[in-house]
Amino acid sequence: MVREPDDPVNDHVPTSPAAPLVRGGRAALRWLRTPLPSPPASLRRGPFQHGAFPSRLRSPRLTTLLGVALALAFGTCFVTGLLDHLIQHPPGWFRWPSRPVWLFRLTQGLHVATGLATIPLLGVKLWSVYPRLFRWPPARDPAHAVERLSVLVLIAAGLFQLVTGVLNIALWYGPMHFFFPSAHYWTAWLAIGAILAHVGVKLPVIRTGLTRRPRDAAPPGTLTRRGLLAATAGAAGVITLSTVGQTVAPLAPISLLAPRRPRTGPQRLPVNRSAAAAGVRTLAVDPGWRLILDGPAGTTRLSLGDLAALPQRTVSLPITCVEGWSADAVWTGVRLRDLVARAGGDPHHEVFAESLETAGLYRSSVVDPAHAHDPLTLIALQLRGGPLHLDHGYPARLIAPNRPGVLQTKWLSRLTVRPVR
Amino acid sequence: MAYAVFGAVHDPDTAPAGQLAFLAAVVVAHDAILMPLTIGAGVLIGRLLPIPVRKPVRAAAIISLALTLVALPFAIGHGRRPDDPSALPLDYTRGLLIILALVWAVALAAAWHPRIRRPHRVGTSARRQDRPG
Repeated sequence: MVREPDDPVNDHVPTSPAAPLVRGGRAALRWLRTPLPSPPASLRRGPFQHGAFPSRLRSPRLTTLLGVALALAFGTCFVTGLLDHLIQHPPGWFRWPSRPVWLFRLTQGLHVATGLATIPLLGVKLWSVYPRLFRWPPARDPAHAVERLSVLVLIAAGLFQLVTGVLNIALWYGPMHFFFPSAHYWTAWLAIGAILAHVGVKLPVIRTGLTRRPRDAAPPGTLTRRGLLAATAGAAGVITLSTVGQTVAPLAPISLLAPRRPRTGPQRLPVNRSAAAAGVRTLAVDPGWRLILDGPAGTTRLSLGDLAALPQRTVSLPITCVEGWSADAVWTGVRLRDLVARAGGDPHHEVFAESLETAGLYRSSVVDPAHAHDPLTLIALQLRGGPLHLDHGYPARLIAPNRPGVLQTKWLSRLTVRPVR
Repeated sequence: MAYAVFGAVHDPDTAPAGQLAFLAAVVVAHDAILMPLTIGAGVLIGRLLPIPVRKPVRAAAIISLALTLVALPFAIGHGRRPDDPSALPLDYTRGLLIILALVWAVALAAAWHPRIRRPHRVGTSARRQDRPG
């Protein structure tokens, strides 16, 4: 029997400053893995029982395939949604171009269409993992409990985004006791973070799910895996076709559930905020209305007649709402850059446009130099050859290429040409 | 995820209580109401319907559920405003029923299609071959 001598070297090694942290970290990891006591077996009833969910259709492959589709869908929604946010609240480094004219139309239409199509995807995925809600024991150890909590956040955030999105395009704000734009924005970050964490945790399962294909046989009368995926894709397709006509005008006749029709509204253009809602009905039709043009060269007051006397241009630009719909229209008016020059500005100035509307987030907008200088940007006086309808911003509205509808300020009262803030 | 919580707490426009309530409500509505009903419907389909129609019915039911959930807020129509007739201009209940009718018509046509009924014929042709010629 040999007794191991004490190791003199290690006894005298000086400990590094990081040693307490490493020890603390190791202790935390050990605590996370200490098994938790499992609840009494008598509580294991109903859905908690082994074999309570007999459907053979559930498999890692099914869940993984749906997961990949969901990751792509939520990723698309996140990027397009973030873009919309950045355009409306541009940080200093962000530059949004004024061309191509249809770019925002594409991204926002894609955002809403993808969100709607994701609903059946998430539904079937949650069905496929539903038995895991009732796993026994509920938490093996604290690490497991943390992982389950993160899945709860993932599910809550994902459902929140889809449900609030649909309520928003249905204009049904009653059930949402919060300000939709900011809640939808912050929960998007929560959802994306939760998705990334989830993918990280599930990487081994994902790999198995994608490589191993279990037999796709099913008892007679039940769907096979392919059948279920086809039904899910079918649901997404039906939902898309019945709503996307609000963005893709040729499909409008078949989109029986579209929240908007591109040619329905005053002057065959949809309206979001009416003059009545904005409280400008009397102010807008007042013959004493003047557009106040403020700039380095001083302040001028232009009447409707003065504006009409200036060189007019006619442009074709769509109105694109953040709710996903968009519609083409033909506008006639004065080029904004002509007014900027008149006020003594140059191509590096921005324009602060204000509305007769006094309250509300969208009573004003900032037109960045690129858009202000674009020859397509107009202070529009006419729509489709006739004077602007009151609900479309009579007497004058801003219309610029590649911008969300909320930034196309209506019922203009004042334009301030100023250096970029 | 921390960015989300941090941002939401510091954004003056957010209403954390309302948001948390909604987050909880969607999970509860889904896990405690929607899922059990869906699974229950699947079980009923398996118990009450003849085998040849079960598959198309299951597929049509999945599509119908998804479609109805999406169409519900439009059909209920609380978002309509009297000052803006161009918002939600269509008859959404009618639209939903028309699309559902189309989906079920396709499903039931598929159920009657000979290809789906074939599994019951395979046994008979095999027996015919065994008879002494």
